[in-house]
Amino acid sequence: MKYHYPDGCVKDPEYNNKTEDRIVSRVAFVENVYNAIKQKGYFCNSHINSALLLNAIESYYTDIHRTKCFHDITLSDEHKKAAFSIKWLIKFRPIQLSVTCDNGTITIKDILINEIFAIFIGLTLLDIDFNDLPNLSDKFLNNIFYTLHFREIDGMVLSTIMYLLQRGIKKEIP
Amino acid sequence: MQEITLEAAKEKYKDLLNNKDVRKISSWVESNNSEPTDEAKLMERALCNIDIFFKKIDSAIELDLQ
Repeated sequence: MKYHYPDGCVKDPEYNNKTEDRIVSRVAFVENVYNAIKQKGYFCNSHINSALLLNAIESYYTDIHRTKCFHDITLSDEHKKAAFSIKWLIKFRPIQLSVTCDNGTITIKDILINEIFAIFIGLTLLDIDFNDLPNLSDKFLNNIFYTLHFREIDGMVLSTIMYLLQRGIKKEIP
Repeated sequence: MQEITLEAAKEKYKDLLNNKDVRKISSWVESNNSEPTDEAKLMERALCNIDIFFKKIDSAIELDLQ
């Protein structure tokens, strides 16, 4: 007997068919951003793993879809897009340090490579002017890196942090 | 202990079930819907801002992680 999934259920094969193009489009975007960063001379000792990246993006869509269903949201706002992207990129860590990397030269920026990349993707999704980034204190940004690296991340709580971060960059009252 | 029947529960919870303030928990804060994401535009944005971002990251990461 064929099971009929409720409308919008993430387990419905039709849901996968509908979101596959979006997943592939987002995967291509993230991979292109990574390659552009590398071309600029950053992230030299690394490579991106396609399977982990696809896993992260697919999980992003599934997670945001169920959140939209539960909270009765038609289209997710920029803060949720940024937060959930960061959450899943951090969880699956698609950027890997190369095996040829000299252990003696690894820095904190290499250790935090996925956090740095995820924050960049997140900021790209937010309505901010990157020239205003100096409005954000180093201390706050440093704390975000610490939280992403050592703490458990909840997408909706991170979404509120993204809102505060955006307001801070824009020098606006939260 | 007397078990509450379905009918009694329906009567007991009738007012709460009709109370919108009690039932709006899952959509308490109204979400600002945004436009669907346009990856081509995002890419343009990303390309322009890589150096600015990494300059900021350099100074933030130099602080000791707490």
